Amino acid sequence: MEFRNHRLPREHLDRLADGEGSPETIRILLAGERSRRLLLLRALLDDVSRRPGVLEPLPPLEDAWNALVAAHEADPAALAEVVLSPQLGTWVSRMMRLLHGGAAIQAPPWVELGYLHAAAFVAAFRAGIPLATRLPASHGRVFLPALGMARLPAVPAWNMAEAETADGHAWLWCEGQKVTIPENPQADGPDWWALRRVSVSAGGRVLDVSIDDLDPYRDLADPVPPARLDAADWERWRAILADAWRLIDGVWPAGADAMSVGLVSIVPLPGDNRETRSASSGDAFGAALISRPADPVTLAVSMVHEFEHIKLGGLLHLAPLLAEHANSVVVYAPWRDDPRPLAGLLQGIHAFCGIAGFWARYRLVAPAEERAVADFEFAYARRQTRMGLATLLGSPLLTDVGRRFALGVAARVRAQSAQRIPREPARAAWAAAIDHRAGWRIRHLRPDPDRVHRLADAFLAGRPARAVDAVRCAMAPDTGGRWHQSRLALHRIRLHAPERFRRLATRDDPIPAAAYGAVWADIALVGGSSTAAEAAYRAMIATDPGDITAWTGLAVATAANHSTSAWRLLIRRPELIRVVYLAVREHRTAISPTAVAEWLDADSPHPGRSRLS
Amino acid sequence: MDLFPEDVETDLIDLAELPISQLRTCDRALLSRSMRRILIQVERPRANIGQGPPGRAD
Repeated sequence: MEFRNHRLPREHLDRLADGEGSPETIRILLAGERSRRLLLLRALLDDVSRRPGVLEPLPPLEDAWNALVAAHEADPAALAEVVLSPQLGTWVSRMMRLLHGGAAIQAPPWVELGYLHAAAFVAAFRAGIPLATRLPASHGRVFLPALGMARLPAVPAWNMAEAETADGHAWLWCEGQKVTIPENPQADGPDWWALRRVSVSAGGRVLDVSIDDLDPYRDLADPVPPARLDAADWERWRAILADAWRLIDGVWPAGADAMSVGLVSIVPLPGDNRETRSASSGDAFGAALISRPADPVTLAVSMVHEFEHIKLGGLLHLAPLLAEHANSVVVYAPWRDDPRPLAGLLQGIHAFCGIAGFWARYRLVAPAEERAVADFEFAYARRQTRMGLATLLGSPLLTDVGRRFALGVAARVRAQSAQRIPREPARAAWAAAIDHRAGWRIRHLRPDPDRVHRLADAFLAGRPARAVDAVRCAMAPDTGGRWHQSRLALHRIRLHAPERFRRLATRDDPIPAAAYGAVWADIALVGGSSTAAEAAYRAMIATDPGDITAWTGLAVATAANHSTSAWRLLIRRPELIRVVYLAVREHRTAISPTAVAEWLDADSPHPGRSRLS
Repeated sequence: MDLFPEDVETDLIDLAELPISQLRTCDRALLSRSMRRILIQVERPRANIGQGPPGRAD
């Protein structure tokens, strides 16, 4: 038999770059995922067949595969449901890592490898063909992929359960306990937790997803115990998902079309709703992990964000967008506090372009009280994407496909740039972006110490600065201490709740947890009093010359009020100005940080217009 | 004129025409190139972790 490789029509590559994709685009990715999944299963079965006894006391893994084939012949959908599930993707990838020393395991290997027996049992049950087998039981639980979880509370940590299905009925038993899968397995029963699904409809589009709180492979890699949502939480999820879907459908119908095909599982993450966390993995195409969101807009943004990753993950399984060694190159990513490999930058660019796209549409329909924040989020994500793209497009490590993809994203950003944003949110987005970049540079870049000391000596001797642009920086990631995004939080508070911000400014209210670490100068800066903020930051630097928050605040304040001709250098090379200043301060205490900045800037070929190094 | 090819030839073998029952017996040499690439991907799992309010992670 001859095979050809999957082909990706240029039109669909472009549709992925433009952030939407169509149902057809997603089906092309799903076809690739099917081939990939089958290859991984073949590799796993080959590998396990060379390890006799590894499945004992369960039947050989080959038996599970044969049962899957029999189920497929009776009902192809029965096999597709389990084999294409995101969680089986996580499982099979983990099994390959496990067998080759790339993962740790707490249970005996047969407990994890036996997941395929459980998948085969479900496929046989769905297809209505008889099967008697044995399944792994873990801490009194037997998980049946895409179906649910039988609970056998008296069963110790690792055990096996007998399982039988015939005529559309199924039973499991172990150590004298028996669980009968309910006639309707989507409903909970005695000792049975169903894997619940939610089907929400809006504008004729249906999103049908599992809300997975059971599958041991629903997390990013390692197996996790069930975290059953109680009735109230379940109802909250159901309701908020319906609202979020209405929102996505309303503002982004093309994206909703694609999402209705490609998003099949939502995994609730633990956590309160003060901060929404979300995640996805390349192994689990179609699944998004999301903590309980505060509101439908937040959930919609998380769904869009993760779906962008899901689509890009599927594309990367078909064709590399970056050269093999791209992961060894780390760069600035405007949404991350740490240096990121180029592959991470690429993921972020695509995701943030999608986020910007959502806000670009939502801001046009948002209730009046949310509009300023929506404008800000759009402007901020657009600016972050643009900054990331400048780095990515300058990289020689993009493949031909990668360059076309990146140029497609850039075209989308240009189209977004046609939207005009009101002044206040636009300025807040600008300030937040340059603030973050300045903070990142100070934390992670170390200017050449010899050059720094030579510059400091020249300053102290009253000589002009020389070769400032030639001072190179080494990447020295700062892993210590949490970086609080206090001013970013203040921008959001100011735009979302102006009265609350006013009470902070008048010191009637304490600094909220979201803006932990904020000082009065930050409130002044965010509130538009850049001159007062600048004076306060100067005072902070005089007291603590290394204070990063004060340096970044000073950079943003001077950029806002242009009080010094060196404001561009302050936002572009704050790491250099700060270390030269620190070296000078070792010898002379009464010195202004902007005096050092202006002295360095005078060496620029175009003073006041310093270049980005 | 767009000089980029109409279709991108990907690195992944298309198994749509392979009967499921023949997956185990199919000549591994035919699959090995794609399989090797996938196993490299699997060795380096990629996760995207986001945090809100809207995002500080990839």
